[in-house]
Amino acid sequence: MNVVDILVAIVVVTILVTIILAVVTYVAYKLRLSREPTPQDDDPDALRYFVLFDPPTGGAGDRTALDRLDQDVADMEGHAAEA
Amino acid sequence: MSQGRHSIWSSLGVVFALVGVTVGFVVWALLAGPDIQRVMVRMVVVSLVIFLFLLFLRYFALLWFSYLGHAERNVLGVREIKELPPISILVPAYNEGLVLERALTSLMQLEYPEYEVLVIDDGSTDDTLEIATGWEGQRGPGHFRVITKPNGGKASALNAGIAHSLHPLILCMDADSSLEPRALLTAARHFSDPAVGAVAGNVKVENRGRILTRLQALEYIEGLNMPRRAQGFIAAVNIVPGPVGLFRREALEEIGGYDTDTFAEDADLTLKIMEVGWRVEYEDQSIAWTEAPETWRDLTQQRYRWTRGILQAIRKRKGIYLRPFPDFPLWISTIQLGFEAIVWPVMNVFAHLFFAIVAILFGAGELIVYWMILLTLLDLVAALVTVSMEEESLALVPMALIYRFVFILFLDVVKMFATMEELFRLDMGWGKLERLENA
Repeated sequence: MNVVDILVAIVVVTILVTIILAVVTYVAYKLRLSREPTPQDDDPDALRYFVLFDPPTGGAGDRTALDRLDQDVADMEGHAAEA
Repeated sequence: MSQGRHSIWSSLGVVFALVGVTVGFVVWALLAGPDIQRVMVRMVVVSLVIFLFLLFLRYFALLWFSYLGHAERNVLGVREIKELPPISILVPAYNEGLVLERALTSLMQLEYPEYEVLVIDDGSTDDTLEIATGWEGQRGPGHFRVITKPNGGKASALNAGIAHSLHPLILCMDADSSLEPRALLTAARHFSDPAVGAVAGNVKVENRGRILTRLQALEYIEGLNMPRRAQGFIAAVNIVPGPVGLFRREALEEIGGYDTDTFAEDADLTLKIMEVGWRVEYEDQSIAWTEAPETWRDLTQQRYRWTRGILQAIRKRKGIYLRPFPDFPLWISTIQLGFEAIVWPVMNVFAHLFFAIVAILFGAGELIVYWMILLTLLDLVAALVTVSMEEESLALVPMALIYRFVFILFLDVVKMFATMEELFRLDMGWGKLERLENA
């Protein structure tokens, strides 16, 4: 294999590899772009996947779930003692 | 300009089309008889000659006019101006907290009697506004001010800056760039000619730690500044670069500031200024240092946006191509912009692909190697001349060895895809580059 053949191989491989790498990089860039949030995703008024629970105020509504659980446990213990 | 969800499928369709055409060509060539194969080898020879002719023509035209511009300056000297008008410097910033401090520090050291610095925070979500606010007040000859607005893009930020600025000359720059101390002084002299509406500065790459950024440093000198210097000789620079451009307020007000309908607001604005008859010059001593992308992916993103932006600017004024007169410099400048953005990249990519395939299949490799050696020598000479003109580091010259066959070919593939997407008007977004703070 003479020098010219080696140079031909280098040139051809360089051209093909560069073009393939450029295409791959372009596709990677487009993939990343397609995953970026659009302005619609950032909109706070847009439809959400869930609605935050807004607890009712006043009366029994002021109690937290833990308070209610404690109360239930106490009631059950009271019933058990009576029995 | 459309901004919606970016469809990966339409982009992939463009890729598949390119691959399909290439594979189809290879299969057809393999099945074709010896007569067709001989014709193809002849086509390669003809293409090589045409390619070489075009390249030589482009290089020599640019080098010659660039040399004339350089010689004019050296022989006639720089223009003198009796009184230096005060300048407003606009720094639009969107999430530039990492690099803003460096830009503002450079503005504090400018050699100019009177100027104001206006930082326009374009609704940043990082600490940009806090950093900018910390700079408010008088610092040397410069008075620093900050305005903030909801996010609307660079063009809208610059328009807000123009509206709030006070002085007759307005310098627009990027928040990731820094100016040399004499950048204002050297550019302002051009305005002693009342016909000059804008002056393009000289942008250089600051971060040169990697081969990719060194290649870009050479590209800025050889591929961007050399044409700009040549265009400057006929006062028809077609892009006043974003990192450093000085404008006459009167010109900006006449054209109504920046349009927000392209992604290359600098190219669009420059063409608008020329369209109403102002001269646009180039000043190679008005230097701005900028941070170049450090990864191939970021570079792809940047050039994709530039190409589509330039095409959008061209699309807005297609009629110019049919009107070489009365404004011949504007016509030739726009022709060059279109050629470099659309024609050349597509031609370059397909020619290289064609040469490689024919070399593999039919053995015309030797001819192609000699052709490439010749082109590389041409690139080396051009690099040597332009690097010397700018008194830059000669260490950049050897980069010319891989400049055309790796770097430019890579960029041309990206430009070609961007051109196809713009042709089909696929959606695109800004895609802000990641700041690295290591320039």
